[in-house]
Amino acid sequence: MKYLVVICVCLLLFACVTRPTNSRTARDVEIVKNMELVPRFPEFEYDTLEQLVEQDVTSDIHTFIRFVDARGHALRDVPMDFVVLDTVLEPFDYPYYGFTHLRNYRSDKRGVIEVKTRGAALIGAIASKAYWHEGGSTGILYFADRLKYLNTVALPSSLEEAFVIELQEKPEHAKNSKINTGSIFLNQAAPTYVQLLGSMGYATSPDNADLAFYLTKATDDKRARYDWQLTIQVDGGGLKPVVQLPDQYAPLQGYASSYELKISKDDALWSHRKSLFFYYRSDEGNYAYLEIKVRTKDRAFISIDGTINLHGENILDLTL
Amino acid sequence: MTLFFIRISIQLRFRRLALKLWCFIVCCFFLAVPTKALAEDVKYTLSLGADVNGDGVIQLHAHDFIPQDRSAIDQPFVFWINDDQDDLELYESWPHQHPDNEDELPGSLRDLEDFSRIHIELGSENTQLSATSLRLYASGEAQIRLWLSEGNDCSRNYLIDDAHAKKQFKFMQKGALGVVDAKHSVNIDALDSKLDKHGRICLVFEAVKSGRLTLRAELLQQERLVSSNELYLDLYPVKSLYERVQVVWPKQLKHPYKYKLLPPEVNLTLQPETLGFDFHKPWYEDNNVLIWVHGWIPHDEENYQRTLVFSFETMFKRLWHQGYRGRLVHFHWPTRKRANALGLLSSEFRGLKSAALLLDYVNALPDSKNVKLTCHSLGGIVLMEALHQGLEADEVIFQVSAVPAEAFDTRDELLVTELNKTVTPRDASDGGWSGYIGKSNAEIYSLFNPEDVTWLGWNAAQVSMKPLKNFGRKYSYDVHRNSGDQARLRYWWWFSRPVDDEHEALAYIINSKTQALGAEARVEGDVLEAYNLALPPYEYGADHVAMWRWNPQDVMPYFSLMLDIFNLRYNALEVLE
Repeated sequence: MKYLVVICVCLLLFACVTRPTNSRTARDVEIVKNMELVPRFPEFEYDTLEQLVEQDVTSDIHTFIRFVDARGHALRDVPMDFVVLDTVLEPFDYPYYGFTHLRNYRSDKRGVIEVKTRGAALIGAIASKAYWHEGGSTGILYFADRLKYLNTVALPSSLEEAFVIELQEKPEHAKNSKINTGSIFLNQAAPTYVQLLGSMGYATSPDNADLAFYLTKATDDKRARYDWQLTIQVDGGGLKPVVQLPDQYAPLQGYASSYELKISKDDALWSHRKSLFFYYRSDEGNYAYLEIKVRTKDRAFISIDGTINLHGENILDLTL
Repeated sequence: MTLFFIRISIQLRFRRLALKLWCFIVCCFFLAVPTKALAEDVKYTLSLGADVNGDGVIQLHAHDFIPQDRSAIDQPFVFWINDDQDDLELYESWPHQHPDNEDELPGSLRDLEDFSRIHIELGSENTQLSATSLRLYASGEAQIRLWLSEGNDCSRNYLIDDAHAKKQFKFMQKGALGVVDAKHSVNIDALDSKLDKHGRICLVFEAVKSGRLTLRAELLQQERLVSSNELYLDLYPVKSLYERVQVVWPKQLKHPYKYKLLPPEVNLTLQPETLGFDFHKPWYEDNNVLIWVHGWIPHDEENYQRTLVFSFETMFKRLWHQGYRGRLVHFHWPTRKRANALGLLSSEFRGLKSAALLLDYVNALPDSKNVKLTCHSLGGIVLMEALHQGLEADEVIFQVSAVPAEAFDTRDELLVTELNKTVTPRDASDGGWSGYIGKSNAEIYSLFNPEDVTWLGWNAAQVSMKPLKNFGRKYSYDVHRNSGDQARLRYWWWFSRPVDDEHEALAYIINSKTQALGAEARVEGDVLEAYNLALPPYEYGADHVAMWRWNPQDVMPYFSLMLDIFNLRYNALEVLE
C-alpha cells in the first residue's frame, strides 16, 4: 500500500511537469532552410509574416494514412516518421517554422496510421525497410489555411477519406548499398580521391575514385577563425545539392561536375565544420544520396554517409 | 702369376670403388632433382597479421594508401584479455564468477567486442595448397584461443552489424580451434577449402592469459616447413589500458545541511585509482587525452565497480574499436546514490566541489596534449562547473546531461512555465543558473535525447526537491531579505543560518527554469552543435544508457559521432559483403 501511494504521488508529480519535445536543433533549421520546404513569402513584411506564421502553427491536423498491398489487403506494422511544423522560429527568419519530430508511428491491423496534432504542415516519411511505394516515400501536407494551396492532393480528414498508399515489397533494383566511409584525411594543397564503397577510411587513386576533394585553408592555428574553401569534383558524373525534401528518387537532371564551398572567417555563421547533402551520379550512371561531413580544424578530414543504388536506377533507399 | 692376380685385384678394387662412386653420384643426382624441382615449381609465402594500427583494416602488405600493419617486439598488437562476463542478465558485472575466457563459447553478442582478428595469407605459385597444413604455436607467457571466422569473413562485420554478429556467434558455438601458448598449438588442415578469394584464412581470437605472446605460424607440406611468420601480441587486463583518478571526499565532512553553523571549507584531494591494476601506457598512444566524467552512479564500492565495468569500460572498448588511440581517463567524483535513488542534490553539491580538481588535473597536463572532455548525465555538473571556473579544452561533449539548459543558453524560449514559477533567482549574476557557463574557449557540444525517461524525474526533482526540506531542515529563498541573506537554512523552527556557499545554494535551493541540457533540442548560446539521440542512426528511445547497455553492433555510430566531434579519426562502419 505504501509503495502504491509513492507510485501514485510520483505519477502525479511527473504528470505536472512539462515533457521535453523532440524538437529541432539549430542544425536542423539550417538543413531545412537549405531544403526550401516552405515558400519565402516575399510579399509580406516580417512583422506581418510572423503573425501569420503564429496563426499557421495553431491549425488542426487530423489525418489518416492507410497502407495496403497490391491485392488491397491492409499492411500492419508499417513504420512512418513525421515532422510537424508546430512552432515559430526564434529569432524569426526563414524557414519561419520550427518543427518537432513525431516518431514511432506504425500502421495498425487496418493498415491505418492516424495523426492528430497541431501545426502548419506535416511531413511524412515511410520508414519501412521491406516495403516501398513506387510514387515516393515522403510527402508534405499543408494544413494552415494560408498554405493549403500548396497541396497536390485533397487532405484526408476522416478514416473514410484516408490517403491510401499501396506498397510493394522492395524489388531488387530498388535495393541500395549503405555508404559509411569513416573519416578520410584530406591532403593539403593537393586533391584527395575518395571512393564511396570500400574506402575503409582511406583515400584512393584517381582511377578508382568516385569524388575528388580539394581543400584550402588559411591557417593551422586551431584557436583562430580562418578562410577555407572546399571543391568537390565528380569526373564524368555530378553532384546536385538537396534543396527539397530528399525522396526515394534521385533527380535525373541538374547535376554539376563540381561543387564549391567558400567560408569566410568573417561569416557570422562561420564554422570549421559543415555537413553537405547531395544527390550524386557516377560516371557509370549509379545514383546515391550523400551526407558529406567536412571537418577542417587541425588535420582536416571528410566523412561520407549515405546510400547508393548499384543497379543503375535512380531509386534511393533512405531507410538505410 | 701373383702380380697378375695383384693387378686384377687392384683393378677390381678400383672398379668397385668406381662403381660405388658412380652409384653415389647417380643417387645424388636423383635426390637433387626432385628437391630442385620442388624448389623451382612451388614457392610458398605466409603473411600473418592483426589490426596493429587500429584502423579497422588488417593490411598485410605495402599499399599506396592503407598503412601496413606491422607488428614488432617493441610495437606489438595490443589487446585486452576477455576476463569480464558478458552473459549476464545485467549485462556486465565485476567482480564476477565466470570470466568469458574460461570456456570456448562466446558469452553473447556483447562478448564479441572482446574478440579481435588475426589474418593469415597464404600464397603458392601454383595456387595449390594440397598436402599442406598450418601450425600455430607461440612463445611467451600469454595465451589466446582461436576460432575460424564464420564463412571465412575477414571483416569486422561481426562487431558492427547485428545479422553478421548472430551468424558469427552461432558459428563459434561449434567450438574453437583451440588455445595457443608456449605449450599448446593448433593445426589447421584442408587449407584450400578455408581460403577466401585473397588467399587468406581469417581467425577471431580472445585473449585468455595476459602477457607477451609471440605467435608463430608455419606452413607445412608433408611435415616439412615451407614458410613461416610471426606476430607479436601484448595482452593486458583492460583496466591497465585506461587511467583512473578519484576525488576523495573526507569521511568527516558531512552534508552542508547538517551544519548549524557555516559548514567548513571543502578541501578535496585527487588520487590515482588503481583497483589493483596499474596503468600501462601502450606504445601507440598519441597526444590526445580524453577525460570522462561519469554520471550519478552508486557510491558503495561494490556497485561502483560494477557500474565502472558496465559503463565506462564498455565505452573505452567501443572507442578503441572505432580507432581511438589516445589516453582515456576515468574521473571518479564522489556521488551519493543509494539503491533507492536518494542523494541527487548532495551529489550535485559534491560535483560542484569536485570541479576544481578536474580543473587542476587538466591544467597539470602537458601543453602538448590535446585535451578533450566528456560527461554523462549528472557528470555534467562537474564539467559545467569546471568550465565556469575557466577550464580550457579543445572540445567538450555533454552526453544526455542532467544540468540546466539555461546555463548554456539564456533565451526565454527555453523557459518551462512550471519551473519558472519559483522565486529563486534565474540569472547567474544573482546566483541562478542562467548563463552560468560564462565565457569558455572550449567548443561545447550536446548529445540530447528528448525521449529519455530520465527527464521526467529530473524535472520533477526541480519542482519538488528544491529548495530541500527534510529531517527538520529547510532551505529557503526569500527575495524580500537583504542581498546576501536571501538564501538561508532553517533548523527545526528556531535556528537558521545564511547560505553563503554558492555551491550549497545551487545544489539545494536553486532549481532550473528550463529542461535539462540532455533533453533540450533548441539549445544554442554556448553550445556549438547538438545531436538528437532519439533519431536515426541512434534511436535510443527512453534508454539513458543505451550507448553502453546495448550491444556494440547497435551503437557503433555513436562512437563515430563522439570521435567526429573531437575531431579525431574514426573507422568506417561499412558492412563488407
